[in-house]
Amino acid sequence: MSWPMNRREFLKMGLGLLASLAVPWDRAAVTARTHPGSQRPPNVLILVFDAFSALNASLHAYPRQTTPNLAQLAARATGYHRHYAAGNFTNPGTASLLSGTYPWTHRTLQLFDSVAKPLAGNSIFREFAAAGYRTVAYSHNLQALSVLEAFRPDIHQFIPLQELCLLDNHFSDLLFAKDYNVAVWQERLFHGADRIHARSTSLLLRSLSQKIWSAQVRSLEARYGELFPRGLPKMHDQIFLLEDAVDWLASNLPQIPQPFMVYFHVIPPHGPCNPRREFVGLFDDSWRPPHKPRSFFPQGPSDELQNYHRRQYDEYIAYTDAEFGRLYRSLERAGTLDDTYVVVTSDHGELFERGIMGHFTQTLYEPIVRIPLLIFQPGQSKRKDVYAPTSCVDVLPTLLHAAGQPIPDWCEGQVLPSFASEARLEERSLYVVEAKRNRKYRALTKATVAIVKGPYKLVHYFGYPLHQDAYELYDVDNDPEELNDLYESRKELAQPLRAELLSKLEEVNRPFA
Amino acid sequence: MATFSDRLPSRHDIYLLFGACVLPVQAQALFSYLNEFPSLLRHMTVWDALSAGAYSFTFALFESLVLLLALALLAILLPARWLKDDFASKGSVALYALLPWLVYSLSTEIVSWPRYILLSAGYLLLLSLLYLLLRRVGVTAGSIKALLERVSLLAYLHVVLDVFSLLVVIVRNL
Repeated sequence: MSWPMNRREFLKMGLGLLASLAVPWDRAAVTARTHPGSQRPPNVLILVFDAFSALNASLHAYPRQTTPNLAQLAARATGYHRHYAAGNFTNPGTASLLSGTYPWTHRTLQLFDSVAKPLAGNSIFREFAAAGYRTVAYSHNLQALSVLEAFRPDIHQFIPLQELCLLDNHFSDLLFAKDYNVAVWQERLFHGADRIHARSTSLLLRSLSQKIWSAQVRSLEARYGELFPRGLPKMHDQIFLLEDAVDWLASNLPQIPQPFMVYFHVIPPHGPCNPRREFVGLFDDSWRPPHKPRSFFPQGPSDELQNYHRRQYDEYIAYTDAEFGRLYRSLERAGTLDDTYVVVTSDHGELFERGIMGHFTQTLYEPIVRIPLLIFQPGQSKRKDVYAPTSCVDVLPTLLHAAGQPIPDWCEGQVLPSFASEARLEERSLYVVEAKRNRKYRALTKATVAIVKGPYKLVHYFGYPLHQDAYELYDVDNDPEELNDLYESRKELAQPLRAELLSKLEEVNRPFA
Repeated sequence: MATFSDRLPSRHDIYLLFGACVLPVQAQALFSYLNEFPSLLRHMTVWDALSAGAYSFTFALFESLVLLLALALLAILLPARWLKDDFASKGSVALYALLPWLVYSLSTEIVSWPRYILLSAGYLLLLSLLYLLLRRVGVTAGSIKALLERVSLLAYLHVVLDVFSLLVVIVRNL
């Protein structure tokens, strides 16, 4: 628009202003009411950045500027500042996001695990497909692929893992697509179960394929070494560029028949943290997080080593954030965002404290279960911030509500504040479940479960050899670093939460008694 | 001029050597699978956990066939008295003599090429000595063949399991 304005531009601006005044304050609620029948339903894009801890995002006041793009773009989104994953690693976290139920319901408890077969129809894909949406899914992550495979009958376009990988040694999804979740275990055994001392089921072929793969990796590293000095982004035997995934979305999203519901799960910032050159060394600063006491389950690394890896993780987040910014602007230019809800979130967080590194742990401290959630509504121009605790199980009902669809009764989540006509989440209890040492179809007897209610989080460890029945209680609002365990000193707070949690566990264990 | 089928070892020898190929491959698959079986049961039904094994055994069958085909190809290409005659005994000796070298070569990142070449030369020497032994002492080849006859029953029990596993894999992917 030129300045000074001509008469035509002045009239257009005036009409625009009048129209915006006519739009009620809660646009989401109106969108949900007006979409059915009156116009095409909105598209939905769910972007999952794996292992993205909200506590390492400057968007949520982290001291390092890890997410300048997300922070800037959040001015046009609804940001949830206390959003929880339902588990502490990919499988339960992803399954809960996509099914709107907790791990003790969908039973995705372990690595390479998926939802219980009778529940495979309870998914965001089934609901949106039934509403006439084109459903599309992609995952860089093999663990998420296991979850997605269960929902595959309801996914119209399942993008093969290989399509957005530079190199991939994985074959189960190509050869045994109809029995993926069992075949992937054979493949895992074939590759030696990802463990150093594990034996491969293959005497020679696995080593031969590994040799070929190593040669291919060396060739790629020679090609991309300048751009990625710390190594190429990878996980398991997949090597990929986040740039390729972003380019794919930017060019293909506008081509997908509308309305669409696209689920896109990319590995960064999940380690190994290999960002592009300009992000390496970005946080070589003197900042140090507060020292925290060791957990029940320490893995041993020193604070110094943890801080070293945290710095690399922060750099990888900054790289991921830059790519998201590039994607957002590209979709904006293409006009895709005019009628698309964009959800940015993660499946779980990451931990670099208390002697624990990564997310393979039995603990549920905030950095590992607090994840970002930003929802960009079409046409939203004003930032909204929600500080009430919310869970990943709320995403499914919220998106269905926004699309004007009914919410299925099996869903354990609720419509999120700013989308619902009334916010009822303040006094609701949320749960986080870690039970990878529990058998899938047995009552939970060896697990860690947290209940989050208002400002408090009570964590219950049970069934572990040294911790048969242990608790921790934190006031997360006033003690976000979880430095003061209140369980012993504030019994009047702990007891009702404990009683509620035990009652819930009894309820969810009943079918397996 | 000999036809292609004339170059092939006898059917009985192929049968015996296939048994010899199956044993180490199947032992590796079975041992590794049984090692992981309890962990599979943590998140699978018993039927699914057994089916995971079916994939392993199907792969073992494939791997055994690859080994047999490699040896058969050598028998066709090399002069008949090198490998084709007494295919079962010569082939099984070559297989078991080469196996440690193959496992080592494929599973290790070779850092020192001189050391690797020395090791390989050692293996070639061992192979040559065994070959000479087989040629000079007729009874050795016969003993090996007799041994192969005896273990072939066990080997073919594994093959039955592998074929059944292949059927399971096919059915699960229909």
